[in-house]
Amino acid sequence: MANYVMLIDASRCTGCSACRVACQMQWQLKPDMAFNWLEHREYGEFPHAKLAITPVQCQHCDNAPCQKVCPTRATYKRSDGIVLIDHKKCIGCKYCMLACPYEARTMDNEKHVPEKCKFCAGFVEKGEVPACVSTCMNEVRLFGDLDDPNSKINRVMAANNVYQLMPEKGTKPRIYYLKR
Amino acid sequence: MPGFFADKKSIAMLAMVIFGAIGAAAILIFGEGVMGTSDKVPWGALIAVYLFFAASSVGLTIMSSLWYVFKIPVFEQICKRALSWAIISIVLGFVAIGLELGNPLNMFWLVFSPNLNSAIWWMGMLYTIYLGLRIATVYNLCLQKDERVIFFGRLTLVAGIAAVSNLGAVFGYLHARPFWQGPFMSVHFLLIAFLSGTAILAAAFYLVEKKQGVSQSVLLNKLGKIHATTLVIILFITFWRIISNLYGQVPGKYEAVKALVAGPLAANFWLFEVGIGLIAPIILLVTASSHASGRIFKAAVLSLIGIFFMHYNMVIAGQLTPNTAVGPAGMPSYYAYFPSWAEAAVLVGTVGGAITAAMWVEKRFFQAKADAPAKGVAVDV
Amino acid sequence: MQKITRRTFLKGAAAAGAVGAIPVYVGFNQFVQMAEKSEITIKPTLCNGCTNMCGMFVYLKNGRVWKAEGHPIHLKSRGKLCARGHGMVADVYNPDRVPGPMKRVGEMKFEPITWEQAFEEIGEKLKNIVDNYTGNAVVWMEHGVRGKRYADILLDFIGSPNYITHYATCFTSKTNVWANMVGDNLYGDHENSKYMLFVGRNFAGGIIPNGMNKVLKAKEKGAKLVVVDPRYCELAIVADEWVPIRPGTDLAFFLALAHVLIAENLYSRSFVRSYVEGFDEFWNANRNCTPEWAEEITGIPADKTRQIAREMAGAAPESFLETGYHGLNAHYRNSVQQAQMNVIINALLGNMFKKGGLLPAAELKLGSLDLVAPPAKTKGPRVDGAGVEGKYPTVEPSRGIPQLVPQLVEEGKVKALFIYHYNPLRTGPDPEYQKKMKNAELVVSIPTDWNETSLHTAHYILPESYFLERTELPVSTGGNITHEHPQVAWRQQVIEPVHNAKPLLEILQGIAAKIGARRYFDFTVEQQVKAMIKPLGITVERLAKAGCLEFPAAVEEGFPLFNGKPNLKTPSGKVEFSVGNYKVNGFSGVPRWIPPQVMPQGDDEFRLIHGKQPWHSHHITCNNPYLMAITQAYNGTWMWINSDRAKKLGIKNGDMVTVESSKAKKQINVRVTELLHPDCVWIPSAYGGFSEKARTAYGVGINYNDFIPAMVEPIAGSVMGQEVIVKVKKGRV
Repeated sequence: MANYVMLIDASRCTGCSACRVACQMQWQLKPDMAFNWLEHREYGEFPHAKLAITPVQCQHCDNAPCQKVCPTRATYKRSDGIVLIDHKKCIGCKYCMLACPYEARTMDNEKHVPEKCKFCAGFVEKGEVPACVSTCMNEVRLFGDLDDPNSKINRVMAANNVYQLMPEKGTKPRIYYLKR
Repeated sequence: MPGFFADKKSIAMLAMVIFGAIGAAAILIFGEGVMGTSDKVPWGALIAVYLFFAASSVGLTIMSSLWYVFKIPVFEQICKRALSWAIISIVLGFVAIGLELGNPLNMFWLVFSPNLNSAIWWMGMLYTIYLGLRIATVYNLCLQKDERVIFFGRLTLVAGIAAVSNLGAVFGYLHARPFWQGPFMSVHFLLIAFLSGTAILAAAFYLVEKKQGVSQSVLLNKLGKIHATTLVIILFITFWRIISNLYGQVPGKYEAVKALVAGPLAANFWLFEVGIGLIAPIILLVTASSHASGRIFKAAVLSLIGIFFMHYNMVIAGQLTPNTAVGPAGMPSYYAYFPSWAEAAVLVGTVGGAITAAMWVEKRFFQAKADAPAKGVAVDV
Repeated sequence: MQKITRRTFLKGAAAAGAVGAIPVYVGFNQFVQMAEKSEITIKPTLCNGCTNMCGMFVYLKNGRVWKAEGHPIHLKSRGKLCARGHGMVADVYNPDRVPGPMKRVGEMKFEPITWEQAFEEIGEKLKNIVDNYTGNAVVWMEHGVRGKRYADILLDFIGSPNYITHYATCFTSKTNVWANMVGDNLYGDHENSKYMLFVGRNFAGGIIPNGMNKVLKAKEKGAKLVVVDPRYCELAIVADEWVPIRPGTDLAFFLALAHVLIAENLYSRSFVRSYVEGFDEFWNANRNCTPEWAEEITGIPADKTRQIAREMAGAAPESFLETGYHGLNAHYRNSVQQAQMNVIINALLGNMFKKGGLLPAAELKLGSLDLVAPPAKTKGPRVDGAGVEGKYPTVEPSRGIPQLVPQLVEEGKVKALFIYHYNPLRTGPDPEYQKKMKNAELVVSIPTDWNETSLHTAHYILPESYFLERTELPVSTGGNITHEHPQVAWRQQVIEPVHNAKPLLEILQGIAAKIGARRYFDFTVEQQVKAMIKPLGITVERLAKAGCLEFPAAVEEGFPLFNGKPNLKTPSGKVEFSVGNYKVNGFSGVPRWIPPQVMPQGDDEFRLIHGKQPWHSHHITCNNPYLMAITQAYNGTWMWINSDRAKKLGIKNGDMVTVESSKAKKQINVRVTELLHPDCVWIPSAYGGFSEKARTAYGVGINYNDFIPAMVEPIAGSVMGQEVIVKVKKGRV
């Protein structure tokens, strides 16, 4: 059984948005619909100011509020940890969009259902890595199976301090960020 | 025979309904394209419309229970109207939320794939049960089976209170939205429901009595007093809610309250919610002489406008603050939402629809009976 | 070409793309079903998102483009692509492409014509122009250099010397200087370096994916990265230090760096002794350029300059000053001198031809097809004066001076213009001035989309096939980053043409046939490809399947020697600190301090500077809906302004301001930031589209070219694109 997680080293991100467009191509999304995005934060004063960019996407939470609030169980969690949406069950109430503290969901205006990052479900089972991971020149993201003791992500996670986004929300995300 | 109102008013109501139908059709055809909602503000004016009618329905149910359950005699005469309006109200509420849903046809999955953790699932169930019980009450009323009416009436009150407090839980459960999160929303919804019930009845009975030539009845006076008391309680709660959230500066709550008092929703909040919805009716009511039924009517209409904005402001304020992983810099201080014409049309249409339906019910069931010499206004229950 | 049919739903998302002209989204479950039945094809080609031509694999689903990924071998991509690459493959279906040959019938009105009619009419007019005014009145302009191989045949036939590229707007200072001082181009060996100084070079904005990867690899190994830039550019995010500098004064900073290296005896004496000519002349001219002197000009504390110089010297020869690209090299009156200083500082570090320092590109010797050359004609002097005695003798004729062309049209010196893969109306200075080009007797534009130049000036538009629709010639890959193995890579046709467009060779063959020059174009791309790869000992099939092939190591460390003597392609064979070519033409041979041409004075005056955003290649990607959606998501068109300066003008973040120079007055929203030098405002170079037919780009943002007059830097011919002062006022003024 796989146990998929992602590790993001935000300090390496220079904001090129290749992850965004690679994902849009992978899932054939329209230009204004994206599953991942960058949060920019400026701090300090000239000439000592700095900019930090944090890539964010669906955190595939183990205690996923979106899954909890879905009235028809259209949002579900697979045993490998990936949170997905079954469109045929979705009534389009958008409750999940409000429940997500990361605001990770985006509306598909043609199908009237919310959408989000799928951790490239359908690809990763075959050993591929998600499009946002493979395209990144700065190798900001690392994706892998925690249950595989030989996986790189296991090694890196063991050797480094990591944090999660908004731990106070109790969501238990599957995306970890490297502490720098 | 002329309508309940003059014909000109009927035509106006009809125009409102047609406008609403056009808006509804546009939403059905073009979906999110003609709505003001976005990924960042997924719930818009239609949710406020739904909340308005769903809460009002329960409010009317609570008011009717003053006689059924609590046997306060003066309220006996409002019962049947309150019952029928409660049905009209919840049906229109369902219309609004049906339009807001992206795929309402998938609702059968509520039955086949239920998620008992979901407040919206419970909302669907409780309101369905509530509507069923409400219809059963009215049905038995028509059959004049008194004991059953009381039985169903009591059950409906329980279901209604469960439904409307769960409606609060729909918001209260969301840890992602600090402004909503917590048990307060359930209490808040119950109070607003009660306020809606009194305001609708006060406004409507003024018109009914005017039509019937009754002046300044005991009932209307009592409604006015209940109304004034509820308004003061809500003003009190609103005041402390604002103060405490500004004082504590809890992230998420603070920004939402700032949006209300000094942000994009300030006009809505101060003018419509506080000014028109609370202060003006309170002033009208507490300074009224004993023969001021006109003031009771005005106060009721004003607070109904205010109630819509209470719902609207609550829904929007909770969503305007960006939830960002790393902090607010580089993000807009608030997300933007403004209702589209289609959303506004549905509001106008549902209000028009509610009044039209009430007029029809009045004409079909109450006025015909009232005109009949043998029977009084208050039919025995 | 690699053909794979997968029974699993693995590669299935393209099923979605197979439906209509715009990708249509399908649900996850349907997608699984559809994908199981569809056929995936993967073809290698080269990206066209910028000029780096990264190797990529394009995935097709039922003949339609699905997605792209970086070629794992290609030295520029190494399995990675930036946003442009992904966006570019989708753009083949952009509705704003020119669908077929067009003829102007009115102000911005065109009617479709047949290729035959286009060739007939263009040929007829061209013949008349050559007969009446000689071939000298004909100009071929292009981005460069992709069309040169074919354009040269046409120009030779009609006897025109006028091949002009866009480089004057890009980096002519750099190429001019390096050709004169080093005789070659050298590139930073980022991965093996211990200290990297980037000045005016945003490696994370103009992207070579593997280049950024190498920089970060070096950092993982402990290298230090310092970024000197008026703006906290994207590269600064991963830098150890950001040192803001007053824009236009980089030359002073470099002179001070050199001063520290020499005065403190930190430079490589052995390298200078053996391989440098003109050291004394340089040092004698610049003995007074101390860090304190520079501090007054640049705003960089003298101690910071000393620290950088000492650290670089400490890490030398595994340290370098990045050799640069667009930023600085077409921007100022002193751009040539700052480019000279780039060579000098690196030479002082003794890092040339050293690992971790600067290395040449690994080149492959490709063959060529024997062609029938047109009969030799005497060509007049170049019409733009590049390399012409008495005009611009030091400007490289292979680059040309494109910003002079509108004036030359007006003066009646240019009668026929061929504009290939180039959009001077938007990417050259002063669009109103550029519009004069339409007054030539014949203007032929060869674009893929409805760019400004085509819409406003072209008499004929001959659409070139999109890069996914055409096969070009193999290229020896290299440059800008180092790689020890030479590579050959090939842009190949990936999909069937969507429109009635043609590859450049066929377009020129069509025109040639009408002017009696067909026999000089009597070959095919296939024949050329075969001849070119013949010396490599590989088959066409192998290259076609691989897309990119690597050959055994060729780059060696060590200064090029011949019989033990320095053997650079310079007169002395050494690195020449003093350029003889400049001297004989009346310029200083060594760099000396030259202040920028203009400086901001008042409270509301700023120098207008620009740069590349990481998801746009200046204006060329601006009509791409996917890339423009990024712009929209992050307020990408906003002009940056320093917080303190903004405060003084009462400007708040997001406010609309009016920007005015002698040439234009435009409105734009501003980003108020601490990340910019107070002397300047910064705008991304991608925006300001004014072609109504390029609908995604139209009316979005402003462009720096609106504000600058057409100017020519006298030595290298650049446009001096940042020698402009603008006044900024709050609101619509």
